[in-house]
Amino acid sequence: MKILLVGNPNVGKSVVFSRLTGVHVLSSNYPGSTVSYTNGFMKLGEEQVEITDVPGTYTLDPTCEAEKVAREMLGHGDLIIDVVDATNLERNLYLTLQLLERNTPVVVALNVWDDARHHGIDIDLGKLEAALGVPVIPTVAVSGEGMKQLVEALPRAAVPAHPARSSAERWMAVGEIVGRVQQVSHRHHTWRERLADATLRPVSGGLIAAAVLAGIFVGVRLASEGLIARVMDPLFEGVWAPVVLQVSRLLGGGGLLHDIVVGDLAGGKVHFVESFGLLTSGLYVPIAMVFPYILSFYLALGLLEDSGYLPRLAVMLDTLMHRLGLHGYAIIPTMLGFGCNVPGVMATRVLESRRERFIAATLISIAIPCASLQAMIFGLVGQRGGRYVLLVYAVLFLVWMGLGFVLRRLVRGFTPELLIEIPPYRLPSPRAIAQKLWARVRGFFVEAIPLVLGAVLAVNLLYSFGLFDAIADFFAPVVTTVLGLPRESVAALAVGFLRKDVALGMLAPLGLTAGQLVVGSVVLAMFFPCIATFIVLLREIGLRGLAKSTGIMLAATLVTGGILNLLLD
Amino acid sequence: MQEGNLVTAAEMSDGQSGIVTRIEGGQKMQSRLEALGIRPGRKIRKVSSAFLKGPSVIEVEGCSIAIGFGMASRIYARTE
Repeated sequence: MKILLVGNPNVGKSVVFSRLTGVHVLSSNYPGSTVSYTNGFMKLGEEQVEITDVPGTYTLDPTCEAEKVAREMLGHGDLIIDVVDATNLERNLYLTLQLLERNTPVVVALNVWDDARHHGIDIDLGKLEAALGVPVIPTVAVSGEGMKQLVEALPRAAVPAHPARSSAERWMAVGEIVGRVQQVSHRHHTWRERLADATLRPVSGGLIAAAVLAGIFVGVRLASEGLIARVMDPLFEGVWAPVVLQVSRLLGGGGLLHDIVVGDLAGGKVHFVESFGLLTSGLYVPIAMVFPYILSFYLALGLLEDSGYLPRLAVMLDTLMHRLGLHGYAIIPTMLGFGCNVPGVMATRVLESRRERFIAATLISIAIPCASLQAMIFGLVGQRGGRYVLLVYAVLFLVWMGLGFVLRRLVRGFTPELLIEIPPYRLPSPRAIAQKLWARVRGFFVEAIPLVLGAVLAVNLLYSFGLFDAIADFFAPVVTTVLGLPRESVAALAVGFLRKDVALGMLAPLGLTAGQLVVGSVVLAMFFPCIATFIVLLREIGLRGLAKSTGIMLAATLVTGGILNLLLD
Repeated sequence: MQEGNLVTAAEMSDGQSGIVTRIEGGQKMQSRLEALGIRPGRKIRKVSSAFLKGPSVIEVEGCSIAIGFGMASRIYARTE
């Protein structure tokens, strides 16, 4: 048996899905956080049933891409759980009635039930069940309330055979049902709502947006630096370094194996960034340098996602983003890209037109540095002075703007106007935040750390077989003349294709000037997205799109790096 | 009560309320707005609008919706 979870965007379908299947899905407080459908299984009696979390839709009339997808998926379900937002009964019931006009049994989960009561909304469940002709179960998915009752109600799912209606008739019917079952106690706008409105007004909202973004930037930086200085560095220097020295002695202090495992211990001391062995840089870079940034950035992002602020940021930035051929909602994939470009590019699916998706994905992969790279920029460029770090960010921001401005003119197609629902502010639940943070941190450990170790291993092997020399000879003319970087940095740029953090680490022992380090960081950020991003780009914008995007990337990198080299030289 | 003025959602001032009288535009746009609860007869309240022909935010049935300038200019409402 196949069960489909269907409902308006941002009503909590993914949370219900997680509750029913135990499969963890990242969910957030903004419409469109589920970009692809997700499958999971649960036990219903003796039977193993498949549950699909369908992307949110307001109507089954296919008015946009996401709705077409949802509509097609409906044909493949044996039972529908219609998740309804109790605080927004009228709008949600429109879709419910459309579902009831089909021949699939339906159970209604009346979600966000607790909020409805707080809002003074009283819904008569008995009357609603009678009007719809299917079971209606009040639920609070975030706390798990009502989930058991929902599962128990599944066998009672019914096909009430509502007549097919025109949209006008359907709205009439919705209005009639809502009038009968719902009572709203009148209340005035509270100060909290006034404050909420302030985040949308041009002046106050703009100031708040600037403060929020600056706060995240500074907060993430301070938290990460603190974690590195107080926890990671003492741990590595005090506890791990003696172990590494011991291993070095055991391996005889030199030779190929020693270079791979421990790396180069110049002067008999462990240099965690420069040594470049598996046990030194291979562990220090991802765990001590990058991980603190991953942790603090994703904590901040999780709070931002679950509070409901992101769609408001989208509104505030809409005018600016239209100059780049995007609309404001593209800020959500962009923000995700600051963590890792992979989910950032995947999230471009929330955008409606192909043109927007292409522009957004290209801009993210070129101009948005991921958290791993940012951590290294702070760590290595930051040693030369904060102004160099700011310079890297300023250049990337200008590239983002400039490139968007050019792409808006070059890429054909249209960018539709903004039309989004703005969810209410919610106080993020610590449990949900912790779960989400854990899922992302685990993803980093499982996916990134093996790749870092692999990259360090590959670099050592390629060096010892002299392969980098061949590559370096080939690309050196461009790198040395246009970018003004030494010949040895070619290897680092090549490794950027595997991991950006390892690549920037490789620039550390080359004795670059601060200016060269800035050029190197900017080029690494813009030049070839790492392989994981490359693969999702291929999947999201296709081979032709990827080819175009790569051409743009190469041109933009050489132009920017070249100009920067001339200016800083 | 005095008869209100007919204005577009883009022109309404912050905090102003009105009843939607008509939406100009194709079937697709009408049904998208309708699905979000914006259709003739509904009461809307303007929350904010951005500078430079940016999006307007309007509230309908306690739910806030951000609408691009072009679309908001085709939603007519009689103010209260």
